[in-house]
Amino acid sequence: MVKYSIRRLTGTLIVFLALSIFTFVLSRAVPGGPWSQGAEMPLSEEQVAIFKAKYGLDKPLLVQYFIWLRNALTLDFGRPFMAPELTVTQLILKQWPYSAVVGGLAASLACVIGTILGSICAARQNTWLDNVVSTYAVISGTIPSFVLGFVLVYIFSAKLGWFPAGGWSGLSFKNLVLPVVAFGLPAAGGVARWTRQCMLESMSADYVRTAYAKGVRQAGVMSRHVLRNALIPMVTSFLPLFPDMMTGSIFIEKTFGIPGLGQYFVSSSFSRDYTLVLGITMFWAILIALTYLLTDIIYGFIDPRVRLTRRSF
Amino acid sequence: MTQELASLQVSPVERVKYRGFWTGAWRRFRRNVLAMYGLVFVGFIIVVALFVPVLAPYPYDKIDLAHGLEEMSKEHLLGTDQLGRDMLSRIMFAARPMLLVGFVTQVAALLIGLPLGIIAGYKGGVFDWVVTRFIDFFSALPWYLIVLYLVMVLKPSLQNLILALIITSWVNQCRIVRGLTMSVREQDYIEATRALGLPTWQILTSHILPQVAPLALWGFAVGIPTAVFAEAGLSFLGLGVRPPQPSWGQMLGESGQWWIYKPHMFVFPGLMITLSVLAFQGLADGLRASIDVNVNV
Amino acid sequence: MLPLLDVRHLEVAFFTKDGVVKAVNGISYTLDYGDTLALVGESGCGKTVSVLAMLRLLPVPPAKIMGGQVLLEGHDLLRLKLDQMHTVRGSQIAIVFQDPMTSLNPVMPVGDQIAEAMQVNLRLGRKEALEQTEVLLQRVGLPNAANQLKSYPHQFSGGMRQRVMIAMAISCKPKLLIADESTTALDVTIQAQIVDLVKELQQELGMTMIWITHNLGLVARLAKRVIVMYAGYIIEMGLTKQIFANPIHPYTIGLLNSVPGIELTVDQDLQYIEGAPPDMIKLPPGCPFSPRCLYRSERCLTERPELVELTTSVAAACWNIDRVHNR
Repeated sequence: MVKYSIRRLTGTLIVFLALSIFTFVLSRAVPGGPWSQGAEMPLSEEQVAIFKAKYGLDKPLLVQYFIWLRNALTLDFGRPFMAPELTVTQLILKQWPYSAVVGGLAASLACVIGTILGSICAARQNTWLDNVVSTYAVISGTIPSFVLGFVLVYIFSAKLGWFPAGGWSGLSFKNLVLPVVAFGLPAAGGVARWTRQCMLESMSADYVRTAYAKGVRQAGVMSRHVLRNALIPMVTSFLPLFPDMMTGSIFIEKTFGIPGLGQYFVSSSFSRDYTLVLGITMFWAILIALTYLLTDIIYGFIDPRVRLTRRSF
Repeated sequence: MTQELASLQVSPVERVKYRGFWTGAWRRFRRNVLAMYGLVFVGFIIVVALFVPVLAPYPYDKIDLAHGLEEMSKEHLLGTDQLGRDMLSRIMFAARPMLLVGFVTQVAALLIGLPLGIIAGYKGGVFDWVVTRFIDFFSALPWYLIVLYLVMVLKPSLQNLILALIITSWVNQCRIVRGLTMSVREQDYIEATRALGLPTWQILTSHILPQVAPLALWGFAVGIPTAVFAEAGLSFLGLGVRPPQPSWGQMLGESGQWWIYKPHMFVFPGLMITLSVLAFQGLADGLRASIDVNVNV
Repeated sequence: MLPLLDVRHLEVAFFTKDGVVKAVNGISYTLDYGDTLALVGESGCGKTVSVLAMLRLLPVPPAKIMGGQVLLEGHDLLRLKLDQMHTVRGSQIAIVFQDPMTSLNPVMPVGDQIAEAMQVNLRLGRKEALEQTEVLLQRVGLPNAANQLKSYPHQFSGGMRQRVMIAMAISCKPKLLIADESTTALDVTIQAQIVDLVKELQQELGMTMIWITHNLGLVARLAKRVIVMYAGYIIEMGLTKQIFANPIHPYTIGLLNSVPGIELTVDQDLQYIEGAPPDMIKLPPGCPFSPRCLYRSERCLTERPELVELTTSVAAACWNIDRVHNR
């Protein structure tokens, strides 16, 4: 078990390394820099040279990378060029909660709604209810979140005035409802379809027939036998939604003007602010890797077949 | 002995008519409502994209500031945008980049990912290790973030978008093909072909490829709506199709300042995006159901 | 005296998109207390379906009970409401299914699964039920009962899993125990052990038993009476001894002939019944066995023979019994 974990950890670290190299190389190798992309005041050659020297951008690429790597290992990700008052770490920690809250709530919404809808479909398989809800799930899953965002704002802010239309004014319930719904509802469609499939597979299993044959009634069968088994594949699909949505909220952030990490990723990529880009990329990669690891652990926990089988590697 | 076998009376069994693989597949496909919608819609879009210079009432970049932000009217069936350009024509022209992105990226992904996946899955060893590292690498972050980054670094344009999507799409094809190849490889009949002395090349093409092809085809079909979605999203952020060339995502993004007052600016592009993604997903799902691909790889 | 089980003209059909599968076509038999009955026939002849129908365990679309009665101590099980069936299942009638790997819940400890039956039927508390479970596990021959309460099905071998299923089935001391091909998935040596175990338990608990099997050797050993089914019909039934010594129906004859005797030598051919099992959607109008029967006549192809009691101990459904037996 330990050997297996070590192998996985090394694999993940290699990927991180490769990711950092990839991000770094791309951002440095392609011509341009923070001074030239859409700059308000084009800098003269001299000023560019001074800028470069200040940030060590005039050193050879390899050296630049290793300096960054050395610092990164001590969790010092430098300072962004465009906003050098804060370190990259501070900036990420300051802006990250917005993405996390929106993404996390949206993922939660998707899981809750999706599970309920999927269970209804499975319980009433092949009836009109199943068909209607399934169709709805398919359709809602294909509406991109940014499209839905526009529609919702138009209906609920502009026309009905229930929610502020002016844009973002801080983390508050009023400001969160529309983005979370726009982001979470499409995902709920996919969750519902998967829930339905997992439940149906569980319901048609032989051990369910055995349970009924024993004299267990429907409620007991559904909770102790069907659900208990269906939850395993369901949970392993739902957990990754959280990191995915917490890191992928860019479109929603743009639609609603939320100052989340996604916005900074876009702007810093654009302006070749490589310290910030690298910082955000690594942060996200670590977050995702951690959550996937957590999912694996949880999966091993809830499925006794995995938990109790000694795996030799 | 043969004499006796020949004279054995066998009770006649009713011959079942075998109608062929593709006919059966088509019948199953036909039954799927969403798939048929997808087929019709995509066909319609392709026709529009092909003949749009003839069909569109106005060129997509005809600026007419005097008639900007107009509602739907007889001259402009879907209204105009902020520069007075006809919405209907722009929407029709935008079908082209969408189809281009969808098909080109997935064809390229298939051409790259399929052979790599088969060889990696079959051969194993160092080659497989390297390919798996690539797959891990591209799975470390959500794919659209990688695409986003690539496009921004390489300067936003349609070509770079296609390039970025190809780079991320081949990985998915490769992953699923590799997985299936690995399980097919373990089957007894493959070992039999090796025992017969068949060269690896022939084993791969005549025996493994046919098993893997349906899944690869499905991967191709399923990648199209993903690519379309990516194009819409990136153009929405302003990083895809460059103006004045229209794209639905781009039109959606541009409508950001005026949509409160002029819903027609976001409704139609948004609708087209949704309908297209739905159509391609329907096609992919119909394909999966009709050729019975086991997608739990 | 009222028989324990009285099955009258049970008919079950499956409505599929390819047509209606007539799985059980009007079977009738009775079972007295303490009897041991064997239901014999090829795969697909309806033996399992008939038994599942009794306990209303068939999925109602696509299955449908088309007619008949199943009287358990005088009460018609088919007229009960579905959510009343739990009073019968497990406590009055119990089934041991064929495949213990898929028939056990993979994520629930084995002890809990057995205890569940008692908690639900006998209203035992959890602790009490688990204590009883330990006793049961020991009784069915699982050596390490206390530890195994917490184990999961995948940790057991096939034979051990089947013992768990048996323990589960007898836990509430049912009046009728049905073993549905319970030994088919097991090694031959384990089969023998399991069969002996069930036989012992039947004696101990005074249960009535139905063995569903296609293993004729087992039938000869275990069952006082046997019912031979074909294509959803009963084509012969009666005392096992009688039927095995002197089979009446051509199908039964073919069946018994096809079992290779130990004295068979290398140059002798194996006997088999010509033809293939019938298409249950398109059954022939006459006797269902007629397409494959060596003794068929015109009448066999158009008129279906009724089950006729030939003696007090044997009944068969055939028009040409005289011809079959050269009388």
